[in-house]
Amino acid sequence: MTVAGSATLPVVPAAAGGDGRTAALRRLLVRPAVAASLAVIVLLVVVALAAPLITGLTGTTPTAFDGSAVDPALGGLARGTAGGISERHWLGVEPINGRDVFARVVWGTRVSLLIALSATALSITLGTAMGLLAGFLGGLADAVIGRVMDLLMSFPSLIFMIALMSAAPAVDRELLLVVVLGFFGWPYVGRIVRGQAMVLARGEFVEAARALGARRRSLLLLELLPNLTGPILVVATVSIPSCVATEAGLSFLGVGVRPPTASWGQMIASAVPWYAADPAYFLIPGGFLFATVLAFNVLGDAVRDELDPRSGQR
Amino acid sequence: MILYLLRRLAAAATILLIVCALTFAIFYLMPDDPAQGACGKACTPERLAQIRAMLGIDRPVTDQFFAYLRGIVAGRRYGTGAAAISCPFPCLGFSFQTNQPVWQLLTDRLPVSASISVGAALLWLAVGVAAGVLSALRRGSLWDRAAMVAALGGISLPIYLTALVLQYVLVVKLGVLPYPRAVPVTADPVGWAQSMLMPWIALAMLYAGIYARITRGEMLESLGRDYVRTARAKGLPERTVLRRHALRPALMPVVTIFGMDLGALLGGALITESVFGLPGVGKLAADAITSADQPVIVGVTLFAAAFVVLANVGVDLAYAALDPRVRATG
Repeated sequence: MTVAGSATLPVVPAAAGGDGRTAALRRLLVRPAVAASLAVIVLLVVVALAAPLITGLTGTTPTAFDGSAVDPALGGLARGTAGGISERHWLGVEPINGRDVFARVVWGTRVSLLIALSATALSITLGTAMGLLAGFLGGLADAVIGRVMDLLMSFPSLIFMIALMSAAPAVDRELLLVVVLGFFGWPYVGRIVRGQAMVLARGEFVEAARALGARRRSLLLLELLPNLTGPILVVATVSIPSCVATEAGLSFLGVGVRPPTASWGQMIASAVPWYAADPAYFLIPGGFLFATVLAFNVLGDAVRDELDPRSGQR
Repeated sequence: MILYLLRRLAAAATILLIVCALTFAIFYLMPDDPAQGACGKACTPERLAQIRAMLGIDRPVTDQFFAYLRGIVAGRRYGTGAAAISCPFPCLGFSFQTNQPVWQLLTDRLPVSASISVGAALLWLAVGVAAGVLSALRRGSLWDRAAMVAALGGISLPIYLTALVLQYVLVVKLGVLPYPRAVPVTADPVGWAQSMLMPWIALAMLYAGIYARITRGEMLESLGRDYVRTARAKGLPERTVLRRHALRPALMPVVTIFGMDLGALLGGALITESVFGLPGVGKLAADAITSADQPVIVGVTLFAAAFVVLANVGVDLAYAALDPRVRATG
């Protein structure tokens, strides 16, 4: 299992100096694909932060029903074209109850990004701490942490997440999603940090610091951690889109974010019975989801290319 | 090698045991009372107590857990005397909804999941590896860039979105395919292939992208190796160099993730099966979740975990067989 996983492990150089990093950043930004995906991400973050303002301006809310926008004679299908796109409802309305799709997508962005970013933050924190301890201390700590990571990574995590989410009592669903996603994500961070920490711990600068009488804690936090920002950045950019996709998948299956809170995956799920009559209803949240995941994936790919000489084969 | 196999199997059994314990703990310690679910609407306290005794959930949790484990390896009997229900090996309990044995539900649905996953796997393996090799050979070309953009796009597509778009275009708009339905391949091969085509494409779009990227990266790496230069220098035909010296080592990691991906899918392509309404193991899980059918959810989780874990063992063994260094350190 350890062999299996290491095949796709990005190996990042231990020491990327400050100058190298700004140069790498500049090289990244001139790539059109990277610039475009960064623009998409910035836009999404703005939308997520300003969701109440935006829906305040359009005068819609994600939960208000609008019976006048749907046609009972057509079984509750939206009036007008493309799912009822109109001046009032920019992206149409839901069939039957007439909730505004634009408002739901905007608030869904907030939910989606909040969960993905928090879950990534959690898995990065846990993974970095565990990986540092395992790689730096070695011995028993390494063996125990390594075993736990192996176990978690060979777990059928999706089905287990589904089981867990479906059985969970009525607690904050968003918080639960963050905890579950973060918990199953940290071993991937931990494995990479551990490998890097093992190499770094043998470095001369660590030895020098130790000779100067540095404590273990300051060795870890002041000597090792700053040298790990590269690999951590790489795993973070890979982790965000996977969290977005997993959250949407879980919500699609009905075990993630619950109504009335809007989420893209859940919107697509509720569009499934209508897909033939009202394709816009699944294409709109689906398009947002796809664009978000793609933008983060393009960015993550480019960041890895820059920071990881092994994959920098362009 | 035997020792290695035994050690691997022991590790797999440990993981399954832990999955079992955790799943069990989640479902049997939750506030939802499984007896209440089995009892139904017209429930009396006496009947509830009776069901509790029958399911064995009036006993301590550890007893229940060991009874469940014993059921898996040796079968078990629910209740006592004439009213007892026998649940033969491997016993995963009975569905609250249909009262069928969970094991029977799983094995009934496995052929559908197997049809979907094996077909899709062959498709994505062929497309992904071919695209990856071509990209590596023509690195930096228009083909390479287009293929890698397509791969990234495929990876970013949520499978349910692909599935809905496919079904909308191919079935509703163009009418070139019928709605997917579960037909055994032996009864109606054409109908089977028609039903499976969309799930295959939907899954393959996701995985082919991953495989193309990995194959390309590994292939580029092995092309830069000394032994490839040596092979060329000693005058081997370019075809042989590529096939034997570059592609073969490049495919090792591909084989690894292939085993694991296939294992995961055999335990139920949950989303794909749900969207296309195909009654595989994944659909069983999705339905069980909707109806809070706890024995089925626990059963599917274990079943899927077993596939993942066994696929891991299979991959490790393949590695050990191909690379003697692994045996020593594994």
